[in-house]
Amino acid sequence: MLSRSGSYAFAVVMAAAFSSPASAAPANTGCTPEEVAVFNNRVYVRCSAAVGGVSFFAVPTTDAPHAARMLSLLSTAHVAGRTLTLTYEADAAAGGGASFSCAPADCRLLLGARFGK
Amino acid sequence: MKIFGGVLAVLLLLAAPASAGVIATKETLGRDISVCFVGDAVTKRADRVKQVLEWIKDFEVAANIRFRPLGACPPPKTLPNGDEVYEGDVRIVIPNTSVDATVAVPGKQCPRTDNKGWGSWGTFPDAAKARRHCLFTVKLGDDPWRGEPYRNHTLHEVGHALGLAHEHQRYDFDPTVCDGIVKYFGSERTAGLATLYDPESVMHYTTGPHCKVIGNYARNGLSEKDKLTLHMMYPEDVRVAEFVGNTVVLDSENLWLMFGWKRRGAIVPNVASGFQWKIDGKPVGEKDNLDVKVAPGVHTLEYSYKDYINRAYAYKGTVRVLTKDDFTRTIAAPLAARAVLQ
Repeated sequence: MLSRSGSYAFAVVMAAAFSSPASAAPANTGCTPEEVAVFNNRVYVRCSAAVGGVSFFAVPTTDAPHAARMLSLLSTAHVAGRTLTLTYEADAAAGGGASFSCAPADCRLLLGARFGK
Repeated sequence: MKIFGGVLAVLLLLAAPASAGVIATKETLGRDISVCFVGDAVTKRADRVKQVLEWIKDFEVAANIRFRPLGACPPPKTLPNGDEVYEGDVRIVIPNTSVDATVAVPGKQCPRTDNKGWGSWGTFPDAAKARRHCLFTVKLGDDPWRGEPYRNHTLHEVGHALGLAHEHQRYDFDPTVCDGIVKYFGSERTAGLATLYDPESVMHYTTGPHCKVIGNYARNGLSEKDKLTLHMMYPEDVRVAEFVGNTVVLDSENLWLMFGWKRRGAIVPNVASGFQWKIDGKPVGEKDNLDVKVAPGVHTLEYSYKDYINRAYAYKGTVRVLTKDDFTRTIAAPLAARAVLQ
């Protein structure tokens, strides 16, 4: 039931946090989504404020179902004007970002995302 | 019990020299921070050096900090007046190297003549003389000495070098976290309290099991409030005003947005001021939070404030205020439809 903003008040996508082979150092951050985008190799969200120089959080499309779920949640938050809490791989070297154009300078592997009421 | 007795004894030794998430000083080391190890540590204790460098990356995750490892600290430069000036923003001495760290710190004009024993400490960013003229600015023991060193102890001492003070010395230290009075816990410190009291901070001394603190003798890394404090001390290159809340609301609701640092546990008056909220260019609030009724439509939102050292932060975006019908048509229904298709 989606009658108003609070009705889909809690959504979580965390599967990648447990399916990714390299989740050595997960960290959390708040995110006001500025942009959600889809490319052939990745889905990403760009947050208005960076943390440690990082403002892009991305998942590879190699796990298509997971990428689709993540896109659904991220775009919902963006469209509905919600603040996200993101869980990401803090270690730039461990996330395998280079394989899906997630640059270590400003992007990290997104492990999970949630927003609530 | 023996272990904790030993830990407590070492803690009491540690407590005196380094009176240090509490912000010790308005100065910071800046974003790019060079780190070096004095003496022959890099060759003689390569694994420990590597471990320290790995652990302090936790600071880079939390804030706009980039450590630049130099390896061994370069020799000092001698000034015309004979004083010696050392390079390296953070110069670390560790045990069992060529440098005896249990005596007065070497360096002409170095003020740390009181140094002795193996109580660890770190030098605050505003201690200009010590930072320039002392061979080392961080003294880092191998605590607990027997077994794997504590990650949080490394973060604690380097935390001092970054400008963090002791969490347990704040005036609002919660005595109920310990069964009984603990020496050095709680004091008169009121300055620089950036967050609510945090017994999980790496800047808090750990003591025996009678205290419910995590602190410096643990291995779990920076607490969430440690991260927030560092984030405020070492802001990102582009300083964005942070908030949480919904920017798409029904016209029957208020637009309610909360200062992001406050949500994370900041003590607002100590870390930020000069809040300005504007809708379509018109001021609508001067508090840290915004709670206003806005007419239906798409509006420009501007939010700004300054931090404790007058650095400016700003955000500009849009808010959408929708009637119930508009909300159903533009937000709820499309999302519902998409959810069914998936």
